[in-house]
Amino acid sequence: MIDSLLDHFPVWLEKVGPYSEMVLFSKVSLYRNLGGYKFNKKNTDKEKEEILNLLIEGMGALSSFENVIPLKDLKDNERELFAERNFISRDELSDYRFLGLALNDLQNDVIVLNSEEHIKISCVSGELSLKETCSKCDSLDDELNGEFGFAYNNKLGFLTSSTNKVGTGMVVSAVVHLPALVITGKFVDVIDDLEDSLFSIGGVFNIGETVEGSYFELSNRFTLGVSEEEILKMFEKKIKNIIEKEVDSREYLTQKVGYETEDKIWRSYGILKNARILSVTDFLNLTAAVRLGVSLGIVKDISIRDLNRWLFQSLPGHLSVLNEDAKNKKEENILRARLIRNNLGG
Amino acid sequence: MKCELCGANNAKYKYYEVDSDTVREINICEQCAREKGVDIKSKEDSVVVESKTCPACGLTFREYKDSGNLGCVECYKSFEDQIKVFFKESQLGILHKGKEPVRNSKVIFVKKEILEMKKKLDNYVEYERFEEAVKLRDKIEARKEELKTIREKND
Repeated sequence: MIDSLLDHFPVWLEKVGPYSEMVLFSKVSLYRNLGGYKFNKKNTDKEKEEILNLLIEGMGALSSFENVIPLKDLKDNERELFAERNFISRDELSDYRFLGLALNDLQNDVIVLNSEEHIKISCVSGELSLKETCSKCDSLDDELNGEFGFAYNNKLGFLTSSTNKVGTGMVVSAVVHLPALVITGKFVDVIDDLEDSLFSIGGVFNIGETVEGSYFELSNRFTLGVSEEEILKMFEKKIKNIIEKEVDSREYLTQKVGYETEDKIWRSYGILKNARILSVTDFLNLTAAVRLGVSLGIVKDISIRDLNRWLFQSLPGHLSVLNEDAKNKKEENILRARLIRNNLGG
Repeated sequence: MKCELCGANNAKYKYYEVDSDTVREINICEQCAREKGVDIKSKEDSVVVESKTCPACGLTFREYKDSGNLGCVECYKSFEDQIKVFFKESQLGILHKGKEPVRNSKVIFVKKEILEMKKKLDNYVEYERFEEAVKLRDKIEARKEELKTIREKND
């Protein structure tokens, strides 16, 4: 069961649509808790174990999720792979003993069980189709509420341990690729815009404190006093505004500094095609430049879908699970270089 | 000085009850401090600064402030005023405007009940109270049937 999940990519990585050049994926999440139980903040290990068992048993009774996995049953590199696919955060993994994951076979419906909130329902899409994703998440929510009975009151809505999530309990997010804004130095404007606003943005592939590859995740920080539709609308406006800024910066790159831009893209392509050792940092930044080249129509023999696949294949967790040779950092870097070289026909 | 809460024991600690904008200082004894869920860090230290506590789960307001996480649904009542201040600063309103749950399930409550009955059953068996054990086992079976019916209705 797990082997099949590990071998296959989530459907949202393979299915590309409008905005896919810039949007790696978008996600709608609903945070819920079981009525009649304390939040995990105040539960003992024994109580957490009891809740995990209840959740796993309950999820097993629903037909929508073919895979229900207690995280303690996985190996370290398998947990890392799920973190790389964004199913669970690294913060959550710092204590995985009482956590569970429920996934459908396509890996676009993901439920995190027994974390800070008892249940986090997420639906993921490879495009920016937020309305459909939200309505899917809404149906799952109804189905799960039938089984579990969520903590809710009329004044405050769905009750959560974090007061940042109470009310709708809904967080919308999208991972966007913004290399042109980073190269032109205009990314600062995006941050300035958000500073006292209701959204947050952060790097996705971070090595230490540095954001590598110019991938960023935008999400809403407000959940109360608004309806789900209003959150969607506000989010959509914000993300489209950021995408527009990226498009403007891309235009600047091609029109004003065309040679320099092409040089950066082809140099990166050349290194990827010929390198014998590739660290994650190098890999992320070089493929980011090539991805920009593909979106601008400069690189024509690779597709966004190829790049998506290579991107995940080459992350440490994926490399280690899918290849027996990746035993240490050095071998991992050699393997990463070989993988991408073979893909590029180098 | 006598404890300002029970009036019986000698006060040992200064207890600070923190509301949204006021701080009330109370002299209390060790027993009352423990009952309030105060984290007594050092026995020599006679001054403990602590804050309001949720009676249902024992979470202190300070713990909530530090982590941003509440301990149970009752915390929303226990710290209502303070949380309202937070909502005004960080949320778009203080009232829910989103969806309501379509149907509220009894499944989780019945399951919790079954779980507790099973624990009790283990005790009965351990202490060889077989007559009670048999009765309880029948009750558990009946509850399981009820669970099945609710699930079928939900489908």
